[in-house]
Amino acid sequence: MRRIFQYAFILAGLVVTPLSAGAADLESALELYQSENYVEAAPAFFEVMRRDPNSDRRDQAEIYLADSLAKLKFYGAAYAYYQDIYKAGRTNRYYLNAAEGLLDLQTDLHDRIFVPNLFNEKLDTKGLAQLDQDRIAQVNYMLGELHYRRNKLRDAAAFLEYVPTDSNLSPKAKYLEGLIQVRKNRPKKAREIFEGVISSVPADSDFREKLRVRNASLLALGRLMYGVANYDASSHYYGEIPRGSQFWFQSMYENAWSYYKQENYGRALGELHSITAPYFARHHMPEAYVIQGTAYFVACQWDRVRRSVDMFKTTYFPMLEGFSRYMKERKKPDAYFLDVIHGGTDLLAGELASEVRRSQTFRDYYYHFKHLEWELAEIATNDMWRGTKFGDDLTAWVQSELDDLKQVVGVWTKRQLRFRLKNLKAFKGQIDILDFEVTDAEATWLEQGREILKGRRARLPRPAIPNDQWQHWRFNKEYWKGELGYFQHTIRSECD
Amino acid sequence: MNRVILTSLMLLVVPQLAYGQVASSEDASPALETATLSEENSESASQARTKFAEDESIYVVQERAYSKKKKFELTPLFFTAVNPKFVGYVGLSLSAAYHLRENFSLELMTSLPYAVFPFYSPIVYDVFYYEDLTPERVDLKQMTHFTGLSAQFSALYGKFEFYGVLLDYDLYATAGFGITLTKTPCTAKIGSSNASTGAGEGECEVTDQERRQLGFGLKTPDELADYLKFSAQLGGGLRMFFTERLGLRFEVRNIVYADRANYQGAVTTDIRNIMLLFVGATVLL
Repeated sequence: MRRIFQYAFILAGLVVTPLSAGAADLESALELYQSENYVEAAPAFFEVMRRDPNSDRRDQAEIYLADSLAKLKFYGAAYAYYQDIYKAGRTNRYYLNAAEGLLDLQTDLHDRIFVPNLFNEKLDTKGLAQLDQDRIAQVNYMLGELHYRRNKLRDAAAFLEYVPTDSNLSPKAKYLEGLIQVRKNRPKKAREIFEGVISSVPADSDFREKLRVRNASLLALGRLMYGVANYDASSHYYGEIPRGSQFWFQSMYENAWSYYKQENYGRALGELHSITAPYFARHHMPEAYVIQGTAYFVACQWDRVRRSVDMFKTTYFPMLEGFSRYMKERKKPDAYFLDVIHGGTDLLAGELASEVRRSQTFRDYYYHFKHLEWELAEIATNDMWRGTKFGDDLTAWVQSELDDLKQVVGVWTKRQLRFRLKNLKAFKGQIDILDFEVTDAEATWLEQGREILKGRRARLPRPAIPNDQWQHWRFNKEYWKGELGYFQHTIRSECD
Repeated sequence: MNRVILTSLMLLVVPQLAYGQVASSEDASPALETATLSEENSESASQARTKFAEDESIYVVQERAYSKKKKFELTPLFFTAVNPKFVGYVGLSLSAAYHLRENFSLELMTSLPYAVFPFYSPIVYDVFYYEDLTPERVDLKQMTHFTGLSAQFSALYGKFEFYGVLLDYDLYATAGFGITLTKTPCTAKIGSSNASTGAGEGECEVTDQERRQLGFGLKTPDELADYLKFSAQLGGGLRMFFTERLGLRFEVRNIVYADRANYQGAVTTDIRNIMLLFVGATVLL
């Protein structure tokens, strides 16, 4: 009997000792955390998480580990632990903390992949309803955007509808709702929504992101009005896009078509004159020569049509040849991403790479990518973590995220490039037809005994100005930044 | 035939950038990158991605950088005489203009009281000291005040880059009329402590400094017609604005009037051309 007691005492001692040791470890890790020594706190929490038999303390250690990593800006590493808790659901008492941590790092990391997909897969509306209003709005917007990208428009609209109007994300959500209406071919409704975005964000707003969405809405309205053949309104919206803003080039590029459709060829050529200025040298603009050539064709100015055709041939025929070969090569998806990052290759022209890089999506991916790379490098050079189980685990997690990211972004980049290749081929086809048509027209004129070679043309009068608040300047072959967007040609039909 | 060709072209040229792309946009969020603008303000056409011929009629139709129409322009100015023969001037003046149109305004300009500082040029001293000569009395008269009402017409405008800042300017011509007030030389009164030897019948008190320098002083002419002169004012200038309200003005203005001096019955006359250079900070109100 006495022996039994002795055994029982030893057994109890064996159980209690690690329990009390685990509590002490957690306590000391928490002390490190509270003293903001996250570099040491993180591996301490990791050890508690690994070794403590008490599941509650393990959970507590895991959330603090994730928070420590997030505070050190190791967002990719933090994601690994937050998502673990989040996946466990409300049964884990740190579920909401994990959700909040994930939403914060989604913003900080510009993450368009991991957190949105995680929330979509493990969406617990009751659980997430306990978050504050801003975070609920973030979840709704994030999932709305995800579904929009997946072309699940009804689901996207359902999420976006729940982004409250007083939320900072409201203009972005409304903008997406407008795009959804466009996809559903409801231009009237779309116009209403886009105009709502514009009126909700002042043109001089201090919020850069809101201003960006306002300008994007103006661009969307320009396109929308073009699509419904309201070219005057289209030009109006394009013209409202602020000079120097991120959509300025695009607005002038597209407005050329609007002016063309209004038969205002002088302004169409003026817009093209602006976008072909040296300031936009790195932009991809094959269609500019198509519009330019067509505008001159309408005016029967064959020599100038030829000049546009030749410009296209000189620039874009070799580019297209290399681009086609590039896209035919067998590559892993991430190779496309890396080539674009490096500004192209021998076959992939720099302006095409720039064109892909210019999108917000790419920039977000790139930011995410660079951050994960930075995390890997930092983990490898951290004396405290290097060569430890903790360091190895973090490296494995972040490396795995980086590989996944490169895969996803690679596929996205390839799709973007393929889209541009298709367009470039289409423009080549149009230039070929223009080339043929101008040759045919010249032959017809020669048959009719008409002169196709023009001498020096007389200078044509200045375009009209709306009122005395406007003034004319003559273009003297020198581009001034302040004049971009204000060019107008005076062009006279030579058909008769 | 032409119409057929045009129609076929219209059909083939389907805008790739417009409506369809809104719906198929890859980017739900707008692009971030701003237009890549060079640091330089002007760029050579040789770097452009298009070609244009000499005979293409290309214009810039641009809203004015600043508008003056129906605005008041207030300008405090510093002035100095340009290449004065006998009498030089420095001083301060004030201009108030109302712009009826962008290129036309009415202006009232006046020198500020007690802020006109005439002085004799070195040649006057030279002829007094070394040549024992005296310029004609009328040439030694000094303008002490001017006021003018003039019309400004600005037909030319331009712009230039100044250390990376683009400045718009306009050139204007100005013409008007006004009045000037003058002073005439006078010899020291006999019996005055400062009476100059052999100066004849004295007319005015002369300060020590005046006596040491040229030996005569200055007084308001006895006759009103010799004191207050009607003048014509002609000039031209340049104004540029750094902001919508603040700018600089440079102006050259010639004040012309028929002057007359009567010294003990000996009358001398001259058409005075006082060329003044003005520089001032201007404010649009």
